[in-house]
Amino acid sequence: MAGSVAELLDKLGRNQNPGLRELPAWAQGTIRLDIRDEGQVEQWFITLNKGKAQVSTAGGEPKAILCGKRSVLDLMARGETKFSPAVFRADLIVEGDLRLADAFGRILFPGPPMAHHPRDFAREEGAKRDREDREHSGR
Amino acid sequence: MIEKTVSILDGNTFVVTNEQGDVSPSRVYPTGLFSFDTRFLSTWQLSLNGERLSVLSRDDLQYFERHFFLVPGEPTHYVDAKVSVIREQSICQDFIERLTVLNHDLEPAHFTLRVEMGTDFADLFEIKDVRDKTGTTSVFQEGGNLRFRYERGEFRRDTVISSTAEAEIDDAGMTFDIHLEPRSSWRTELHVQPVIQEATGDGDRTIWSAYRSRSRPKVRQDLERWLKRAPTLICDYEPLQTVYERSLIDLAAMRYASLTNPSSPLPTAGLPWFMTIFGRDSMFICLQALPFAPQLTPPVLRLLALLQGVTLDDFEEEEPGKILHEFRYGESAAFEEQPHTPYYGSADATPLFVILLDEYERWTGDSTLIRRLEPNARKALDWIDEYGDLLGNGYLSYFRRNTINGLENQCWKDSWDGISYHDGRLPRPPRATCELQGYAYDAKIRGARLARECWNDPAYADRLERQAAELKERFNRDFWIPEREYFALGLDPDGKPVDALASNIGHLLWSGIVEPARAKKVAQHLLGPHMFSGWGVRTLASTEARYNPVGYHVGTVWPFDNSIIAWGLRRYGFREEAARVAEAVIQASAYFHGRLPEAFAGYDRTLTNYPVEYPTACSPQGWSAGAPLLFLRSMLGLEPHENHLATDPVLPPSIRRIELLDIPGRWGRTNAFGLRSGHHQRPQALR
Repeated sequence: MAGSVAELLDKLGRNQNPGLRELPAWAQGTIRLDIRDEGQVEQWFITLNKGKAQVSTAGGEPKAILCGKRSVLDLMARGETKFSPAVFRADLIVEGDLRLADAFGRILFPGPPMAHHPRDFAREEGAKRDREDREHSGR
Repeated sequence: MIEKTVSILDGNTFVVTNEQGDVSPSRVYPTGLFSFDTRFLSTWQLSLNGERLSVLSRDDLQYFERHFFLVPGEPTHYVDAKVSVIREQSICQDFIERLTVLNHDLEPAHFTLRVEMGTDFADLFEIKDVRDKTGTTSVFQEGGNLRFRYERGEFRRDTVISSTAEAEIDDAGMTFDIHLEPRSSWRTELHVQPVIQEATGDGDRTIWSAYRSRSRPKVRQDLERWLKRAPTLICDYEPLQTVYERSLIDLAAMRYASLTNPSSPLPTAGLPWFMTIFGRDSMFICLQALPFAPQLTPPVLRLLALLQGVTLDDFEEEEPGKILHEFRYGESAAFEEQPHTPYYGSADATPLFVILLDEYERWTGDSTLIRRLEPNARKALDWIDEYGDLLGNGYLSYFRRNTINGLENQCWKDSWDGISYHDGRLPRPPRATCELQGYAYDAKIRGARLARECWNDPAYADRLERQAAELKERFNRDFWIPEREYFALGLDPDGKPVDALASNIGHLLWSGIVEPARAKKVAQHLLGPHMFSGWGVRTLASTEARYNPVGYHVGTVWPFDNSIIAWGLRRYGFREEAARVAEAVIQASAYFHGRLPEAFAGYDRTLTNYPVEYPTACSPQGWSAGAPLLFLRSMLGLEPHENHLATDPVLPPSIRRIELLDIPGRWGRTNAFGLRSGHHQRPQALR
């Protein structure tokens, strides 16, 4: 998992993002990501095509523009906040093709770091309860 | 006590008022103007010379407009009214109120008209579960407008109110000084605009401003077109005619346009609490409406596919391939206090996605969409085995990982006590309810058909069919309770049956997972005295410890549930029984002016003589509106067979004749006829 949006973009540019193979076929085109940081705006152009990504600091007309503070995008890169709620609280502003922006923001950013596979969760909770049952019956 | 309310709506923007057209602030009930899950008006009260008005009559013109005819004072003073007010409310993205004051006197008169205005910007979930606001509210008067604003960080909501007539504006409303000559009138139009995240710069074009300025048909023309596209029903039973027409209009009303696909509206679950997409509800409505309004289905499947789970997330209960339960746009969702962006806490939506996809293809032959959604359907089928089977025992079960505000029961009976043993105990999680296994079975069978016929993958089809056959065998062994002769409501984590008798067994018939030899017993239970109230099949049999005729999922009768049960009875050849269930619910609808409520009480018909409405807040409700459509399908025995529509009508005693004309499908349009006396007629193709 990336520690920052810079790292996420770097890995994405080298096609090392596990979400790329999940991208639907229609998710193609250029997204401009404007990272705001202490009055500066850093622009990145991410072009998605057939499950591959190109990342560069220059590019043509984007289909979608995403704009947000570096701090928010870093949280997203660590899976500590998610794309949709960030858009709804206006920490991220989206212009243009919302579906493409959504594919980028939801699929190429990770989920929360401590999340469980539901089967592991059921196993852990089951074991916890068995332990509690044993303790109770032992008294 | 909740007073009677009146609603008008346009998509997920709606107004709930009292019978005078007023809104009084309520922290516990969703009265007021709402849009995208936020309340933009919580006070809207009209007075004339300081006096509140009484209603003489009301015209419910369409779902987006209401007229109120009002006079000052209490009802006993009507006869002396020298003045009256016509209040015309309508909604089309914005809320508009036209006020006309009429002086009926022979003398000139002076009036002070006042509209009290205010808002709390409550999130719908703060009304369900009362909480104080975190952000700040302010009010401005600017350029003849009254503006309320709510801000929390970058999150911003505004209500902007203007009037065509000159008003004296203060922070709590507008006052109009009116001088009227004898027999003359005065008018103003108040315009209330709910603004989400108003653009601040010149070139700003956010998703919200793009949504607001989208091109869209006028609501009136849109409704006309919708009704014209639906089949025409001719029958000799008035309650059926009424409930059909009411349902079509309510289904049209309860559609909203999502942000990602604003030109194709999709069905919501119900007013006022559920005006958003729900995986389960929206798909069941599509299934119910397929023979009548197939155009509802593609936008639902596309949106659900777009938001299909990609990662693991405990709070949102997301897993790769999972189909969402609920999507919300309000403040609590935005600040991740609620898990609704989207929330994935349902175990049935994912198999239902594959079921709907297949049923849609069978009716419409729209193979383009089926091919386009192939990757999503495969991921959904994978989810059933990889993430849905929590114990590795081959059964779909659920166990909430969001322990803060996730749902304990992630099946359609999702209240906390919805799933119980015969003796009333609640099973431990994970819970594998029976209908989930039915849906999983059906999804595999239907997925196999799609794989063979549309995706050109016979090996995958074989595998799915093999898995389905194994599941069916396993299920009929493990869920059947031989001494009671019905299928258990579920299995607990120790593999023991959760042995209550519940309506879920009717869904099993619909899914086809029941061994034919056992279907008769299931049908007998469903139509037996413990389950069948006379107004329909109860959610829980009266023999069960938790049975309560006014318990939400533990004894009430749900029209939606009954529509699936009737479809299931049909599938196993219980045609008279299916007609009996349909008849009971249609008869009940006559007591609700043709608008079936979410649920009615499970009292025996002989006890109450009329169906008692469950005291719920949701009316109209999506899948209750869809139920009569599915009942029609079941009574006429409509089944698509490649390029023609087969019919096999069996009508109940109270209905002698049904004609359903212009049924859309892959055959173009066709008609179906049913006669009670057993004169079955084959469908005739129009073209």
